[in-house]
Amino acid sequence: MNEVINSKRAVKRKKSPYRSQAIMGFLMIVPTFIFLGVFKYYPALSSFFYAFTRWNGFSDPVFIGVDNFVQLFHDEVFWQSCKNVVLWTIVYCAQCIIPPLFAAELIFHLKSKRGQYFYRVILIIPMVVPEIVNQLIWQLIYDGDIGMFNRLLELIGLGNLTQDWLGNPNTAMIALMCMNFPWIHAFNMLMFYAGLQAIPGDVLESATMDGLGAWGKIRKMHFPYLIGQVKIALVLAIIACIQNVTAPLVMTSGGPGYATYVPALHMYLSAFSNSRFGYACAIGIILFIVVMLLTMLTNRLQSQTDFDA
Amino acid sequence: MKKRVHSKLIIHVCLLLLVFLMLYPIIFMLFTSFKDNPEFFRNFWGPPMELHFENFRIAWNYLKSSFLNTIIVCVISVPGVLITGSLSAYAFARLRFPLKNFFYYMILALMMIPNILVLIPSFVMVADMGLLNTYWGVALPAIANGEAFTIFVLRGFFVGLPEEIFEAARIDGASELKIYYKVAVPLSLPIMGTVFIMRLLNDWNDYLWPSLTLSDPSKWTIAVAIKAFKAEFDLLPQWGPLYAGFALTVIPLFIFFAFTMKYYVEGITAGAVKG
Repeated sequence: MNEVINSKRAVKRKKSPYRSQAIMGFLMIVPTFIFLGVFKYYPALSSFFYAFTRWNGFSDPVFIGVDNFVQLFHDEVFWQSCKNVVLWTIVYCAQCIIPPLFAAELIFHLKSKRGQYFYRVILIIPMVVPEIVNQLIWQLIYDGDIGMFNRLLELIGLGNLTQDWLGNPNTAMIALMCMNFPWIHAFNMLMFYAGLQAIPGDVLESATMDGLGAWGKIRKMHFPYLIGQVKIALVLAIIACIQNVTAPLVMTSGGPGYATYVPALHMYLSAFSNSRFGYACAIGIILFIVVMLLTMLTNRLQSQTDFDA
Repeated sequence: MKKRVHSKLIIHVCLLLLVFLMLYPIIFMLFTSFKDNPEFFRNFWGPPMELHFENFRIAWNYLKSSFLNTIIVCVISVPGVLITGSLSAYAFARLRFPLKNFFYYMILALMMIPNILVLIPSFVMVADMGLLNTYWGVALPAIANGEAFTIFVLRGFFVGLPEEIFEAARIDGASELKIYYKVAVPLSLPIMGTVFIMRLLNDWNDYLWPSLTLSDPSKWTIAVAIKAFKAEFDLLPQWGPLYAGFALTVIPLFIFFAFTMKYYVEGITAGAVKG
C-alpha cells in the first residue's frame, strides 16, 4: 500500500516540473498571441468574410455572394494593374539578386579585411534614408523641370530626350521600376556576403588547385553555396513587390491614367478613395492566394535543387 | 603578380563607382539643403557657396513635433515586440508544452498573410476601438507586425544554446521566467541588438499605416510629416528648406546607426539570417 502511494508521489513529483513548464510555456506565448489575434488573425479571417459583401467600412456590410469577384474579373483596371505588377516583380527580383550579388562578390574578392569592412559599411549607409524620403527624392530626380536625370541628359548631350518621366504614360512605369539605381539592396548584399564567407576554405582552395579562373570559381563554387540565400531573397522580393503600395502611391498615385496601377494600389484606392471596402478585400484575397502559391512554389523549387545536389 | 594588382584595381574602381552612385542622391540632398533658390538653379550639381542655415530652421519648425511623435511610437513598439517576441521564442525553443508545434505553425503562417490583406480590416477595427489619431493605434499593430521576424530569429538563437546551462539553473530551483531573464536574455543581447535595429528601422520609416490612422497633424510621425512638408512646396517650390527637411529626417537614424552599424553588419554576416 505504502509502496503504491510512494510510487504515485514519485510520478507526481516527476510530472510536476513538466506541468509547470507547460503552464509557463502557455503564459509566455500568451502576449504574442493576443497581439497576433487582434491585429493579424482576426483581420485576416474577417477579410475573407468582407470580400463577399458590399461595405463602405462604416455601415453594416451587405452579403452579395461572389459579386465582387465577378466584377473584379471584368475590371480592366485590375487586369492592367496585374500586367504592371508581373513586369515589375520580374524586374524587381532581378534587381534584388544580381546587383547585390555582384557587389558581394567584388567585396569578397578584396584581400584586405579592412577594405571589405569599409565597403560593406559604406554601401549600406543609404539605409538611414527613410523609405518615404527616398521615394520623394526619386520623384524629384525624375522631375521634368528640375530633375537630376534630365540635367544629366543635357550634360551628356541627350537634351532632346528630357521629359517629365513620371508624368508620361509611356515612361512612368519604367521610371518607377528603375528607381534606386544601382540597386545595391543592403540587406541582400550582406546576406550574400555572409553566404560567401561561409563557404569552407578547402572548397575554395581545391578550386584554385583545379585551375579554375575567377568566373569558373564563382559559377562552380559560389553559386551552389548561395542557393539558400538566393531563395530567401527571391521570396522576400516577390512578397515585397506584390504588396508594394507606397512607391506608386507616393510617386504617381497610379497615374498618369492607370499607367502605374498595381493590384495593391488598386485595393488601397478602392477602399480609401472610393469607400468600396468589400471590393478591396476581394482584391486582398486574390493577392493573398497569389503570394501563398508563389511562396510554396519557390519552396518546392528549393527542395528539388537540394535533392539534385 | 602584375595581373593581381590589375584585377585589384578593377575591383576598387567598380566598388567606388557603386559607392558614388549609391551615395550621390544623399550628397546632393546635403548640398541642396544649404542653398537658396537662385543658387539651386545657378549651381545645380556642386557644393553650396554660401550656407543658408535658415533652411533648416524652417524645416525644423515644421517637423519638430513629428520627431517626438515617432520616438514615442517606437518607444512603445520596439521594446514591446522584443519583450513579447523573446518570451515566445524562449518558450518555443526551450519549453515543452502541449500544442507547441501547432502554435509555432501559426507563427510560420504569418509569413503567408500579406500585410496588405489585413490592412483594411485592421484599419476599421482600430477605428472602432477609438485608436485613430493615437500613438497606440500606430504602435500596437507595429508590435504585431514584428512578432514573426523576432520569434524566428531569437528562437533560432535560443535553440543553439547548450542545454547544460538551463539544466543547471533548473536544478538550482530557478523558475522558467527567472531562467529566461537571468540566463537566456543576457546571452542573447547581441542578437537582440540586431533585431532591435531592424525593428526600429521598420517602425521609424513606416508610412502607409501612420498615414491612414493619423489625420491630426499634431500626431504625425516623421514619414507622414515629411510627405506633407513636400506637398507644402508643390506650388511655390523652395528647394533649400525642402531638402533641409529631408536631411533632418536622416539625422536621427544616421546618429543611431553610427553607433550600432557594427551589430547590424555583424549580426547578418554572422548568420542571424542563414540560407
